[in-house]
Amino acid sequence: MRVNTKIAGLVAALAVVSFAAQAAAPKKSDTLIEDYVAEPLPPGFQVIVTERDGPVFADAKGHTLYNWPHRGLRIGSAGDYAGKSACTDERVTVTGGHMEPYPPGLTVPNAENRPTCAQVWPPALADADAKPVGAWSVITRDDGRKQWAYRNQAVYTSFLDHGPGDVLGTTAAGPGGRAGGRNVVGPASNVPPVFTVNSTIRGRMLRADGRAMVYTWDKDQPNRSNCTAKCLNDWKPVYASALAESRGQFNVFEREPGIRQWAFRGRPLYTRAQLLGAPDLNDEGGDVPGWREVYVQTVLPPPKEFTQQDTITGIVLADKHGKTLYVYNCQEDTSDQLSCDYPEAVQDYRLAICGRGDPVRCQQQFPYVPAAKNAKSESGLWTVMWINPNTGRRAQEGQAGAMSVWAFRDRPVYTYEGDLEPGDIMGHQFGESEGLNNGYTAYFIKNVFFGRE
Amino acid sequence: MSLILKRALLATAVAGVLGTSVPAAAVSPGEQALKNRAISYVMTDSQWAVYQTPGGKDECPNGLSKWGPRERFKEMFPDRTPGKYSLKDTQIALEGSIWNPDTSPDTFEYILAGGTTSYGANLDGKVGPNDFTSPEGEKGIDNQLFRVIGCDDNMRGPNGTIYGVGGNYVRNVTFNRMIVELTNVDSLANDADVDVKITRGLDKLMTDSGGDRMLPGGTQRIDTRWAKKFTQTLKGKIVDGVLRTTPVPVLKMIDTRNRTPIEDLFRDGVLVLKVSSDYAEGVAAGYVDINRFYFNFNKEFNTFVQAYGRTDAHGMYKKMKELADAYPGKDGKNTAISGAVLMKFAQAFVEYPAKQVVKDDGAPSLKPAR
Repeated sequence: MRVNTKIAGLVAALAVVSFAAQAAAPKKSDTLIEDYVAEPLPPGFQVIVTERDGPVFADAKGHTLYNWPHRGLRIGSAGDYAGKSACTDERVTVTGGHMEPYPPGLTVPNAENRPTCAQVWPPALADADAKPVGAWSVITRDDGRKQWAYRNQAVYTSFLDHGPGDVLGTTAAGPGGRAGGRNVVGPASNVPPVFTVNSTIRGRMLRADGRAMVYTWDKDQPNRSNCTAKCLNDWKPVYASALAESRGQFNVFEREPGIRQWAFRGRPLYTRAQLLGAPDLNDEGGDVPGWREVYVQTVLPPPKEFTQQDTITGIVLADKHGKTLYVYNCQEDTSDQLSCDYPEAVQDYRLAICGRGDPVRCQQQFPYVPAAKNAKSESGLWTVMWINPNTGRRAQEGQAGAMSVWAFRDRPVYTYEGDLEPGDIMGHQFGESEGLNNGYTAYFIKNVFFGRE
Repeated sequence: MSLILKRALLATAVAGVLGTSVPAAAVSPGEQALKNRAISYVMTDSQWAVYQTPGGKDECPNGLSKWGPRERFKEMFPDRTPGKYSLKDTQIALEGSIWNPDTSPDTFEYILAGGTTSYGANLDGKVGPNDFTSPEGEKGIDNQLFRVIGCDDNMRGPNGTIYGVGGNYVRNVTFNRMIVELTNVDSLANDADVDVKITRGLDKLMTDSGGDRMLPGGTQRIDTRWAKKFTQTLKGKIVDGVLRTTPVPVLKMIDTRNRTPIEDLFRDGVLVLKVSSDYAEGVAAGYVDINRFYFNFNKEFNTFVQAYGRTDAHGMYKKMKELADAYPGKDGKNTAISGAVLMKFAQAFVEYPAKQVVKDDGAPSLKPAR
């Protein structure tokens, strides 16, 4: 189907508005920047180290690159098979029935103006004579155009990103912004094979052996472990094999003759021995005084007026009154799996859940978090936006009824009417599919028992 | 006379008759713990109390739930022609009504449970016409929530989806590691004054090699940070091996049956547990806040889970409000409904976090702290 000019105009308008709202690329941490493994890139492509998602690939304009690997859904599947792109210029107007028990074939809201997958996720096109580079290959789209692929997965930009360092399309780290199985694409972290790095709300977290959180101890000295005897009942050194070699910011030292241990920036590394007793606990070791989780890169602090509150399962970010902050998640049940969680998307989903279609009820049940119009945050992940609370759409300063509110990753945040005391999380998972497909989830800084950060 | 002493005397008497030496009497972990007049239990199973007879013949003579999400949708919107209906008028309208429920009449039949028997407790001290009799014969059992969920196929064991998934989560998710700590205990048979502390552990349950049978004697580190909100102390007494706590204005219970952190609240809440040196089982009962139960239920068990056993969320709310039997709101209508949770426990040793003291050489030593 040919692209409707109205949609093109909408996308263009969105680009202008969003770019203005972004103002500048997110600031990077001054003290901790993730080291990554450099690799050959297509002409003009680059690596940008972003605040929360670490190093990401970007095109010549600095637009973050994403992929959409094929995956099974509750019913059916969606995404790109290796070497192909399923994200086309076809406008999808009905549901796919991927989330039972509802059937397929229901006309989605605003169907006639709905953007296509390729408009929301513009393909990273390659020149007709482009040649493969390293792990990068060139695939041919159904319309004959060439597109870049990384490790055989087609790559795209997001129409929500408008400046270098923006990662607004999706994120691997909750909360907010999960977009139908899409992933940010970036180079490998420069860590020894025993470690992996995962994006979390607090930064790029180091893990050992696939899942164990890694810690340092305040009582250690550089390249000297003081954790011996009884300490070892609770903390397990991350041992280095005889053949292990120092790499990047990681080095090996001898804790005892012949016994080698990993260190990060000279700080000896450990996992929690008692994790073996309760494998589903997440970062319970971080509660022990003197022990700290390890990040290869940390995010900048959220707005100063926000607070942190203990809950029954971890720590949440809360407003200045102690009310838990929530993000809204939304994904359409369509074959292109487009998200509907941002102000420019159709608001019917959100209004149904928060107020049965009534915007006034929505504002009572999940009110926006007011922000002073000139409020600033050190972290580029937090901004102030103008919103029309009756429509949920982005507004301009000075428009009748517009209010300035806090936004995370360019999406408003909310509190919940049913939270009566600091630390209440009664609005968590309110909505379809535990709040992830059309609903709300709490902004967890640390979720000890359920690990969704 | 303590159970330990009785066993020892019996062993001696038997040995005397047989002319053999006295073997050391086997002492269970719980009996060991009772030497300090304290015993703790860790929760191993938890289900909203649904009394079942074979085939549901007594409590569900009209059959089980009929109008789950799939059935309701098909009845309301039978035409499968693509594009016939809009998402807004169908699916998200229905979801909107689940998350913003009301008490308007429903055209779909909701099957309520009946019968005369139910688990629970006598919360109001009376025997009324709507009350049940417990399986042990106690009259005046208040459990109107059973009427609402008792014929829901999802909630019935052993094959109900919510029953099975929920039970699995209770055992495997550390969030649910509810601890009942009894102190000031002279006897698990009869004791007029027992202190009861409810808190949470942080460790796996101890099981047999097959992983199904819960064993006493495990250790649980106590969660002194995240469990603060529902750590509570109660008073109770044990009569003929049954602990009954004095009702408290609000009894808080941790609860997750499917990845959602839940805190149940039982007003006028009580624990009624049959206790032994190795195990305990019984109910937590009270008046359950309807909104809290309803929204927690839907957060945990989404529409697609509800569809497996034809749970009717629309009807559930309306019936809970209709049968609510306590705590009137500003509009004069009751906001809470009597209910109960069936629970099982295994004896466990509890360990409170140690206070770390750093020695001169920099290595920590651990002193147990309480």
